[in-house]
Amino acid sequence: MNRMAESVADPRRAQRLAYGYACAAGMLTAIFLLRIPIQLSDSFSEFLAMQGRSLYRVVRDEFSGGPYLRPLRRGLIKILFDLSGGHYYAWFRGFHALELIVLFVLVVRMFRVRSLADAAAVPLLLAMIVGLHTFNDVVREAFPINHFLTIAICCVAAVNLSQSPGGLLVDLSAVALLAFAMLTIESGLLVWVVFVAAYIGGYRGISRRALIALTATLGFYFVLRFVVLGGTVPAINERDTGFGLAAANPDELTRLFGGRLWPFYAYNVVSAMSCVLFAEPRSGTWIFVRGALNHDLQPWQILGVLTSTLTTLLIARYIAKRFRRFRRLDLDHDDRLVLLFVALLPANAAFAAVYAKDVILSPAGIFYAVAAAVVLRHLLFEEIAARHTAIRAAAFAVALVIAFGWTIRAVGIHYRLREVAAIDRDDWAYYDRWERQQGDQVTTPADKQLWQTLYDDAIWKRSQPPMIDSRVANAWSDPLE
Amino acid sequence: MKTAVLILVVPPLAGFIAVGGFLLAEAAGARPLSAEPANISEAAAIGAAARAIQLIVNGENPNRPWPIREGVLGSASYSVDAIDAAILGRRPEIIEVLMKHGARVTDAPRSACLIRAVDLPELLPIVGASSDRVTSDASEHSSDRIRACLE
Repeated sequence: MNRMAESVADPRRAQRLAYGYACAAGMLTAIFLLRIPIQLSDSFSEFLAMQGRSLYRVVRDEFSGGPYLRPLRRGLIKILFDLSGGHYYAWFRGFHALELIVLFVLVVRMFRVRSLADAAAVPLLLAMIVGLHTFNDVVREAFPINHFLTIAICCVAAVNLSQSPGGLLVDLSAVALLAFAMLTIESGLLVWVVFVAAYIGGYRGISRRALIALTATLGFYFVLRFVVLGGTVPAINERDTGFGLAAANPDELTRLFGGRLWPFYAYNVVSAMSCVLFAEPRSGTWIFVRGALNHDLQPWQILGVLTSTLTTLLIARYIAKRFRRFRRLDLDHDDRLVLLFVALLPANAAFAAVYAKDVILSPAGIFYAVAAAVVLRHLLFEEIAARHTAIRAAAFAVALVIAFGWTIRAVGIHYRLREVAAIDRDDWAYYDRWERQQGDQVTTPADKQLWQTLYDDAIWKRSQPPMIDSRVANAWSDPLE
Repeated sequence: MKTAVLILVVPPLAGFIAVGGFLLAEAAGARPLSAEPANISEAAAIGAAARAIQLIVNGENPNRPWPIREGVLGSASYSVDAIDAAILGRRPEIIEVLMKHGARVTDAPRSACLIRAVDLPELLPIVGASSDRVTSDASEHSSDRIRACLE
């Protein structure tokens, strides 16, 4: 350990700094989330579906087979819907903001701050999470609860449980967490991957018995979904998806691949991993390559690919240097966090096999940021301390580029969230047009009352933040499309 | 090791302070990077429907001309009512919202001329003309045609 890390007699000071910053950064982004009204698209229909139905019926109706099994997604919406007592904005937008802060705190806990060197990496770690392109839709969207954020929290909570001293309560919590995540959306299955990878890596908070119970729970899920309920896997004919240099519709995909879809699935999985590692392709479309070919690269594209690629190279270098330790599973805490990312990446990418969308990869993105913070901390505080001045200068320069790059990405997200606030408000003003496109939505007096409440919230009750526009910010921030 | 700490901490902390400072400045009444429409015509021109509704309900008359500042719709400035502003801004979707809140076509020939100038023939029915009567001269520049309509 270096001198600075050892000089901190009381690790609690470093922890207080780290948690304090996590809360402050979470609250700052939360303010931007709270300026966004409840969305018309994706949210209003969900609200209408909650009217006049009991929680039991909402959940039960989701056990109907088909390509998805997400009873607790709607169950959670229903619980919040009923608890809100008509104050939908406060409860749903507040829940989104609260989830973000909880995620930040759990990430810092998972990072295990023990010294000032650890604490120093926390601001960049959180900037990387917010600045990640896979995190865009986690803050931009709500359906009306962002279940991708919920699953990301579950994955990080799984690591926290694995790092704990363990015990019966921890084991039971682990099984409950997995069951909750799996029944929320499909990518909740990643929680099982996290538990297993954490155990293999050496965390013993979850007992071997619990691991068997978790695996049995996973097996039960598949039996329930595919045998008992007769469910199917999602088909490619549901929506457009990125392929090559543009988006492709289901007809085009069918023409391209016919009945042999494995190459398409493989393309999506590889693209998804590349998306996390290199910020390209985005949602299956190679926009950076397209921009380069058309001589139309935008600054935000260059920034994204450059920072992600540099960061990935550092992680790859770390793994290469410690490859023997990784192979023997002779891992310390830092190695385990990197191993978790390595294990989660392909598993998470598999969920994008049918439909490429960046936000599906949000759990892998968060673990990527944690691995990157581990590697940067290791590089700057341990590895180069005794190295030649030129090597140190080079390492500092790379770290500085990475730190500034991710900071610009994180700041850019806040700029775009302000834009989103105006867009989502305007959607309510354009309600008539939306209803014509969607078909009649508001049919009963209760529906009308619900619409009026949400409309008033969006247009009148919440102070609309000033619209902003900046040529520089437009050029350097990811447009959240 | 101080350098290492500075490298890790300073950039994200600077970002945090910049974003937080921006919010504080707004809370104090400053308007950094503001793109707020100054009136109903500017709101219509940029398609800011929610703001347009607020302005109308709060008393702004959408049927009188309001100035559109230079920079809102390119380098030119205009003085037009809300419907014409929506046409100039090529925001056909906001016209229905404006009309629902009391806006109307105040000068049908001028609006029709603007519709042709910006090449949005689907809007001709709002001025009582059919959409097959577009006769704009393609060789003439759009801004010249707009200017001619407003003279």
